[in-house]
Amino acid sequence: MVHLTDYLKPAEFKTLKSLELMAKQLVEGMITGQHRSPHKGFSTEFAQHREYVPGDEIRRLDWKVFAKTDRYCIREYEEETNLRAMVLLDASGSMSYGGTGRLTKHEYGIRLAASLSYLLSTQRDSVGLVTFDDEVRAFIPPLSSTRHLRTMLQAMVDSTPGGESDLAGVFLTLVPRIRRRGLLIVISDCFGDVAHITTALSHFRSANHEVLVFHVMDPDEIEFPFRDWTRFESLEKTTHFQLLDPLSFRKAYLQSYETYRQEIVQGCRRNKIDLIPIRTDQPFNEALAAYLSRRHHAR
Amino acid sequence: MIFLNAMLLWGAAAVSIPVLVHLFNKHRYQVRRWGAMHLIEASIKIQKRRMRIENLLLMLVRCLIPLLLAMCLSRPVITGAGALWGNVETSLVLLMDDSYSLEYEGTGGKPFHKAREMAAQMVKDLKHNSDVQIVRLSGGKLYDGPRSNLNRVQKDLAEMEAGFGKAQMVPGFKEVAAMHQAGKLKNMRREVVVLTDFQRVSWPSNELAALQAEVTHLQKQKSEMDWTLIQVGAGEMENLSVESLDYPKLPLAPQQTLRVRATVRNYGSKDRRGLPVSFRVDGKIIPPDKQMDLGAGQQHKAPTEDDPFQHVFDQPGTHIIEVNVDQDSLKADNSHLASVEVWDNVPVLVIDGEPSAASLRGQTDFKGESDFLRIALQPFRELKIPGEKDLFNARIIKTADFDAATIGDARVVIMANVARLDDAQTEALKQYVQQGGGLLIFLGDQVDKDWYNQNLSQGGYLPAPLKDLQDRTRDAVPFVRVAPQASRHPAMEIFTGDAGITARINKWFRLVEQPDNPPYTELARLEGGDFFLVERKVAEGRVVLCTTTCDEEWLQGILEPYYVPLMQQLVMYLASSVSPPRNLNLTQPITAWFPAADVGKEVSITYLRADQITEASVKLADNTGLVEKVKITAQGQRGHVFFGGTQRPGLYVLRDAEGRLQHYVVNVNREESDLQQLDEKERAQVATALGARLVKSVDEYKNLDNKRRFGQEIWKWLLWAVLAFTFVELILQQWMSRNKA
Repeated sequence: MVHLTDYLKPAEFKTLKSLELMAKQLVEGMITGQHRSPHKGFSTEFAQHREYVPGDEIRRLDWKVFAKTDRYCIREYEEETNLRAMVLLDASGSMSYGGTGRLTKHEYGIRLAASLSYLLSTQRDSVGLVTFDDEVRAFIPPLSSTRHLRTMLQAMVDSTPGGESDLAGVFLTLVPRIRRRGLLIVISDCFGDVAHITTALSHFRSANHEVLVFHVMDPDEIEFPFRDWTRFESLEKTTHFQLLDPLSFRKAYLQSYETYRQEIVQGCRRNKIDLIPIRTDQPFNEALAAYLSRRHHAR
Repeated sequence: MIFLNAMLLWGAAAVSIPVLVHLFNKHRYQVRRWGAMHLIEASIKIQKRRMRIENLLLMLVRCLIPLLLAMCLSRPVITGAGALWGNVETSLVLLMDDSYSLEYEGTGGKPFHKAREMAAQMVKDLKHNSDVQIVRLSGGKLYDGPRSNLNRVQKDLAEMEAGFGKAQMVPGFKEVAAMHQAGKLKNMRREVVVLTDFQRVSWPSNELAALQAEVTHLQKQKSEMDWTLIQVGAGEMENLSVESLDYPKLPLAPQQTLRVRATVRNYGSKDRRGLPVSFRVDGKIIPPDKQMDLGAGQQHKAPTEDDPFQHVFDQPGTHIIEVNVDQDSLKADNSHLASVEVWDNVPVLVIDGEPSAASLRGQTDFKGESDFLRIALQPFRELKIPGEKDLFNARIIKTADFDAATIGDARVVIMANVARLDDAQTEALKQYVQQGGGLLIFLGDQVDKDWYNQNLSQGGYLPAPLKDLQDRTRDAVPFVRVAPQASRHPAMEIFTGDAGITARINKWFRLVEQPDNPPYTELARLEGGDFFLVERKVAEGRVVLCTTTCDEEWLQGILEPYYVPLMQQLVMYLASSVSPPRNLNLTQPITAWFPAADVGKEVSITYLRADQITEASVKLADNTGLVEKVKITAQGQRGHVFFGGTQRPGLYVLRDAEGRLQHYVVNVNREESDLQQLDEKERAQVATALGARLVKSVDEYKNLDNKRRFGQEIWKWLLWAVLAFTFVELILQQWMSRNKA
């Protein structure tokens, strides 16, 4: 049985709890929770009290309970949490790359996805998971329960990176399957035709989804630090390789990378997609916290 | 291109190192499973062509560095396209034909002067640091080793003179080979230039093979020499030469008449009629001139035998005689010189082995062994003829009185039937002979054969050992005669033909003959083959042995006309021949003897050309001529002068510290007088055989030089190239690394 603690270190838990993920867009449903609903006037059924945590709005304090018990409590309703988030975890062959002494991109992505899922779960948002390479491997619809979270984690662990990637194709197939608008969290190295990928993502945007792309890259792929003659064998096509002197090609490689990166940045910006570049040598919770902080301020 | 250290060219194999390193690296790669293949492929599209060019360039530079370094170490020499390189340091060897044929005063001046100017121009055109050696084809070279002071060489060339003997090509070529073998030609460009008039006698066809062998030998040694033959002289043909002089070779006495004739040859193609022939003594013309007719190519003696040039010397000493036919443009062979000695007193010591009491007192009773000999040597004194003076002054002693002191100033010692000498006497006699004395031995009945063989034969003081005594007194014909003489020996030359020795000998000693390489020289034999007179040179002296007596005991006919001249000739020959020769061949050294007291003093030797000889210059009364100083050195008990600088024909006058003069004459072989030259075809054949170029002027030589391929070492350039490529490699590497970064 896989436990969340297998992927999240205690220190990462502590940091996660101090942050909150705030959806930028309103989701369908009533404004019963922290997310403002576009459908005002609907009443919701009281569900429970919970302890006040820093960051909760003062107006949501139940002053009656405070008068009786001298404790700060927040009133919660059944329909208050209605953010639907889907984590799209890339499990193509290219994600299995990891530099010496570092996690692979896929391992890093699992940890990131788990963190996000946990965070969303603690906010009573429903989270779903899609793993894919050139096709969808697992599709877990969003739900908000601890059991569901564990199911998701199990699916993440079961996803072994391999096969070719076809992000654009997969995204296009997912558009009709994720009907209710929500937050789409893409965790991928985005290898492939960037134009196609951003075009596919734009379809999510057209369906009013908020799209968040964690662009995970290994430092080796960014800096290309190799010196000796190297036979680069494709992680996706086993018969595909290139034998070259990395020193001679480094500059050209870096040029290609920069072009590719700019295409992704431009494509995301054009389609109002949040892009978070992540290096696998950087503690993922820090990157996540930085993003959440940015979103919080943006709100 | 050639390589001086070809073995080091193997180092060029290091060119494979960069390639091998490249291949090694390429096959010793890492394997990396990689995701971002699309980025690599995109960069390959951008970079591959440029990188391939850059890598190839770097590989080329890296390969060139060891290749150039190997070439640099192997010392390559560019032998082609020389004109592209311009002037380079050269080792130039000038073979200068300085024979007297180049002294021909033609319309364009003397050929040697032209050769001198051409050589100087060639030296002037040489690049700084070149070196030059000048080889005289008459023999010898100007410097011990090649000179790089080109200004000095030009000055030396300007001072060079011709007028020497025959040009010797083979020794000249051998000199070049010797210089090459000794490694004295240090520059890579080596030029040998022969400046010659191509006189036929200097370029005989039978020597061409030897010359070719020398050049081929040098080629095999990879000497890389360029040979050039430059013709000087316009091929003049007309020339008269005084080939030789006929004059008495023995010293003369005062008032004795000198008779001189000359052999004159016409080498030209024109008949010469009424050709004036003049005679000079000590620079003074002795009239009248004689005239002779000489057809083309003919050779005659002049004047006629009945009317020779004659002269009577009043004073003793050395005198210079000269016959001159000054009727052409080549002066060097127009006269022939000779040094004649005139003596007024020749002291002679006679050791009489069987003297009479009267003879020891200076009287004649014909009972002493040496009575007839004494009369023969000093007839005027013995016969009391007034107004006449004998040349010889004979002193008679008995054997017991002989010792070193009694020899005194005697020029000749005569042993007349001496039985034996004691050890001290023997030693004194040997010393005397060794130091240049003359010894004349007559045998007789007193002679102890064994003593002679044991004491005198060893060391050559007896020309040949005594074998046995021959006695004809009891034979039907109780004597043998002296065989007719055909000898040209100076002592015997007057006894040729009808003027023979008419002596009849009834007793004589036979000698032990040595058929192969005998150490002695026979002067006369008896009929039957036994020796009559034989001589042998011992150290500085000379010994003549007569196998019979000097009186009528064994020798009949002593009153016949041959006796006096024979005795005088023998004594004069011994007296004169032990003196250093005064008539020398070219390069034969001048030697002179002086008293031991003069050792350390200096003598001067003045050289005068034939045309410089005058009454004054012969006496050194003016400052004509080239003067050299020579020191008298000790040799044995006497002082000795040795002067080897007789490379030019003419008169050499030695003056000692007391101002006394001795005249030496140096004559040359007249082969050079034949001015025939090789024709154009023959010259071309010679040039082809020697692999040489044939030119006629300096301009032609320069043109040839510019076209000719010559070598130049380029290791310095290659070293610079290595450094440059190393720098380029560094820059390229850094540039590429920056690109990579």
